[in-house]
Amino acid sequence: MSNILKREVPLGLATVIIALLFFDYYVFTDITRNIALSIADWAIIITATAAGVGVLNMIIRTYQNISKRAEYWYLDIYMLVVMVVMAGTGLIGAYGTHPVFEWIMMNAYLPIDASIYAMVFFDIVSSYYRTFRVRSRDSAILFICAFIIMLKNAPLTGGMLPSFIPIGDWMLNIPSTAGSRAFIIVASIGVVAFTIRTMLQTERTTVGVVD
Amino acid sequence: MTSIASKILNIDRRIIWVTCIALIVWPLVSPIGLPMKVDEITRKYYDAIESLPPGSIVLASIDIEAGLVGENGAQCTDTLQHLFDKDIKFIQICFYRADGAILFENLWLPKVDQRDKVYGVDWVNIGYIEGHETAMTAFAADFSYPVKDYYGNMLEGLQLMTEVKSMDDVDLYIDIAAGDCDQALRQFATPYDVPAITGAMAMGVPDMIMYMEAGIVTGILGGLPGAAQYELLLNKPGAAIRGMDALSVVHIFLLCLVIITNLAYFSLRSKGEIK
Repeated sequence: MSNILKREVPLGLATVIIALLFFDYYVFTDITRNIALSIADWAIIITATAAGVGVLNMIIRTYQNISKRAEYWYLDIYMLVVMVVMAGTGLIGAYGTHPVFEWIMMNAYLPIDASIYAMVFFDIVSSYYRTFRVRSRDSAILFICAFIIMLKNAPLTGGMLPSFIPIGDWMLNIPSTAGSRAFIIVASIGVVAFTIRTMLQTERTTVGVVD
Repeated sequence: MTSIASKILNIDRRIIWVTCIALIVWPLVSPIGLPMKVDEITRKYYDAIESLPPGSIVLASIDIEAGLVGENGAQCTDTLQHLFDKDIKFIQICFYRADGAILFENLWLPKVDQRDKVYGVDWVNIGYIEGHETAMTAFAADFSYPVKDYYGNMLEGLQLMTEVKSMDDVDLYIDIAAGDCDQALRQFATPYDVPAITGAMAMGVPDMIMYMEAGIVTGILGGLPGAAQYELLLNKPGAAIRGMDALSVVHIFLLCLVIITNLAYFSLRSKGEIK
C-alpha cells in the first residue's frame, strides 16, 4: 500500500497530466484547454504552498539555531526580524505598495543588490587581464575572439576600425549562435526524452527508485 | 626591461580598479560624444514598435532586478517612452522577479513622460505573478487570471482588460528580462504566433540571436550599447548614450592593458624567466 501511494500514484498522475498537456499543445480543443488551465492553476497553488512550507522550515531551523546559540545566532534573529517586517508589510494592501515595504525595497534591498553586481566588475577586470594571456593555442583563439568583439562593441574603436564590425558580427551570428543552438537543442531533446520516459513510467528516479 | 615587464605582470590590481573608476567617472561628468553605429538587431527592435499602428496592443514584461539597472535600465525607460509616444496600449507584467514590479513602479515609470495617457484605458500594470512558466501559460490563455492589478484594482473593471482577453488579441510581445526569456518565448510568442522583441544583457545576445534567426524574435537590444543605439534611433539622447562614452573608454583601457601584459609576458618568456 505504501509503495502504491508513494510511487505508483504519483507516476500515474504524471502520466495522465503529461499526456493531457501534450494533447492540449498539439491538438487544441476547448475541453483539453480548460483541463490544462486547471492543471496550471493547481501547479501555481502547489508552488506557492511549497514556498510557504520553505518559509516555515526556515523559521524552525532558525529558531533551533537561536535556542542552541549556534555560530552567528544573532544574524538569525536579524534575518527573522527582516523576514517578518517584509512579509508583514508586503501582505498589507496590494503587493509592494505599503510605504514601509517600499522604503526598505528602494533604500536597502535595491542599493545592496546593485552594489553586489557593481563589485563583480572589479573581479571581472582583475581576471580579464590575467586570463587573456596567450599561453597556448587555445588561449590565443580565446584572446583573438574577445579582442575582436571588444573592438566591435566599443563605439570609439568600432568607428575608427569599421572593418572589425562585420568580423565581430560574423563571430556573434555564426560560431557563437551555432554553439548556443547546439546547447539548446541538446538540452531540449533531453527534456523531451525525460518527459516521455516519465509518461511511459520508465523514468522512476523522480519517485526515489534507482535502478 | 625585464624588471619593467615583471612589474607590469605583477601590477597591483587596486591601481587598475582606481584607474577604471576614474575612466568611468570622467566621461559621465564631461561627455565626449563618441560616434556610434546602429546594429541591425537594434534597428529591427525599433522598427517592430515603430511599425505598429496607434492603438495596437502590446504585452510588456519589463522585469529586471536592481543589479542590472546599469546595463538594462535605459532599455526599460526608452521602450516605455516609445510606447507612450506612439499611442500604443500596453499591459505590463512581471513573472521572473518580485522586485521587477517595484522597480517598474518606482524607477522606470517616473522617468518617462506619460503624455495624456490614462491608466486602465491606455496601459495597465499587473505587477508580479508567482508561478514562472506555469503562470505564463495560464496568463497567456486568460488575461483575467491574476484578478487584480498592481494597485489592487479588479482587472475586470479596467477598460483595456475588457478589450484584451488573451495573447490572441496582442500585436507584439516585449520582454526585457536581461536575456532570461526562453520560457516567455515558449509560452507567449510561439503558440500564439505573436512577434516578440527582447532586451538582453550584452553577453546574452548570442543566445537571443538564434531565436531571431528562427523567426521567433524580431529585434534585440543588447545591453547598454543596444539601448544607446535605440536612443539614437528615437532621437532622444539619454542615460545610455552618456554611459556609452564611459563603457567605450574603459573598453579601450582594458584592451591596452591586455596588449601590454601580453607583450610583457612574451618578453619574459623569450628570456626564459617564466614558462
